[in-house]
This record gives sequence, C-alpha cells and structure tokens, in this order.
Amino acid sequence: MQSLTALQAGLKRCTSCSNMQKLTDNDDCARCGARVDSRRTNSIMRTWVFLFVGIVAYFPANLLPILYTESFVGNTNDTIISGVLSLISAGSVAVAFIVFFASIVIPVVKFIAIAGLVLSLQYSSNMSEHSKHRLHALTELIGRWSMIDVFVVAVLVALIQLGAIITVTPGMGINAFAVSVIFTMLAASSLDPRLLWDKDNTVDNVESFDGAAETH
Amino acid sequence: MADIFVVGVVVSLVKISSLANLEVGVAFWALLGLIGVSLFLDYVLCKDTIWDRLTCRV
Repeated sequence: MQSLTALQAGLKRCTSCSNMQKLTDNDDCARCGARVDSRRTNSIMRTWVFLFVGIVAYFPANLLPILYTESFVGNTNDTIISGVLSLISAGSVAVAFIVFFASIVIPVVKFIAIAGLVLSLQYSSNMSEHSKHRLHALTELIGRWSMIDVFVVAVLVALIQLGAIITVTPGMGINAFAVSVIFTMLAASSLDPRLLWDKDNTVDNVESFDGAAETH
Repeated sequence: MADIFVVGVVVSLVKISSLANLEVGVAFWALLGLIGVSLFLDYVLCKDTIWDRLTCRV
C-alpha cells in the first residue's frame, strides 16, 4: 500500500497542536506559536547522547545503595536488587516482581530498543516500518514505569521518620537511577518518530531533509 | 506520571507493612479515585478537537 507523508506533500505538522502548514512557511506554528520542523534537527545524534548518559548512570544506580535505614536494631543499606530480595523474603512476591520489572528489566529493554531503533535508521535494516513504529510506541509507553522505585524511596523517606526508632534516608543510588530514567526518556522523546516512516532513511537523507526545511 | 506514583505508594505501603501494622485511610482511596478520573480524562480528551474549537472561534 502506498502512503503519502506530509514531507512528500510539501507540508509540515506542528507536534504541539497538529496544525499543518507548508514546508516553505516560517518555523513558528501559525496557530500555537511552537517551533515546527519537518524532521527534528539532529534527532539521531541527540538520541545517542541522551541514551549514553542514561546507560552510564544505570551502573551507579544499581551498585550504590538507594536507601539507608537507621533503626535501634542496626543500620542497613538497600540497593535496588536487595530491595527486591527483601520484598521476596517478606512474602510479597507480586510486589517484588513489579519492582524488579520496573527497575531492572524495563531500563535494559529500553536501552536495547532505542539503540536498535537508531541503528535501524543509520544502517539499512530489513525491519518493516510498522514493527519500528510498534517498538517506538513501546519505548514511550514503558519508559515512565521505571520511576516507581524513585517514588517508593520518596514516600518511604517522607513517612518513616521516627527519630531513634527508625529513620530512612535516600542514598546516592536513587539519584543516579532517576538521572538514568529521565535521560532515557529524553532519548526516547528526541528520536523523531517521523524518521521511522521515511522510506530512504539513511542519515545523509535525513540531514538533507533538515537542510531543506531550514533553507526555505 | 500520577498513575506510576500510585503504584509507588502501594509498593511503599507493602514495604512499611513488614515493619508495622498498617491501615489504609480514606485519603488513599480518594487518591486512587483521583488518579482514575484523571486517566479517564486523558483518554477522552481530544487535543485536536480543542485546538479546532479554539481556531473556529476567532
């Protein structure tokens, strides 16, 4: 089935309000004033940079403690994995599974999915447009769920402040984890999904799209 | 992000319940209701319709 992209029709769409305007119009949306590009500038390079920061921050996030617990029976440090293990030993296997999935599995799946998408844009791949689109939708959908552990630490630190009996303070690991999640979300959102639908999607071609949109 | 916050609250409550006896208050159910309603709002609200209405009025 043959489809027509906005670029082929000589149009560009505002991502903020969906208004269509001609490629030759200026870069401000006539309706809402947001910046309108046919294809986002340097989308692939920005995605690589954000993804790199996300992956680098993922290591301290898992190695450093995310939670310090000081109580009258002693002090403990919890990392992400030890938090999951203590949930299992407490008998809450379902909750442990949710935390394990959100904090360990989803970030790794996202790293691989985003890297795969960008590589499929940079090098010719035999992945169909539809499966690329589905993979992109999946990365946008699951990305936010990794924030569960950040919220858990925030709620625990706020609720458990009982002085000498038991006090909980956040560790450096959770900062690194939040940085990792946020930068991976930035990577997913800076990857322009319209590039996935361009038939001849080599980087040179993408650059010429950017150039064409700007020189007019 | 509010729906994820609610899951985070549930996980924290499970963690705390291993330390102390815990009873969920009315506000927790109110929070669940609020999140449910705002999710439903996101589902039914069509941004394009709003923009079209705004433009027609001018």
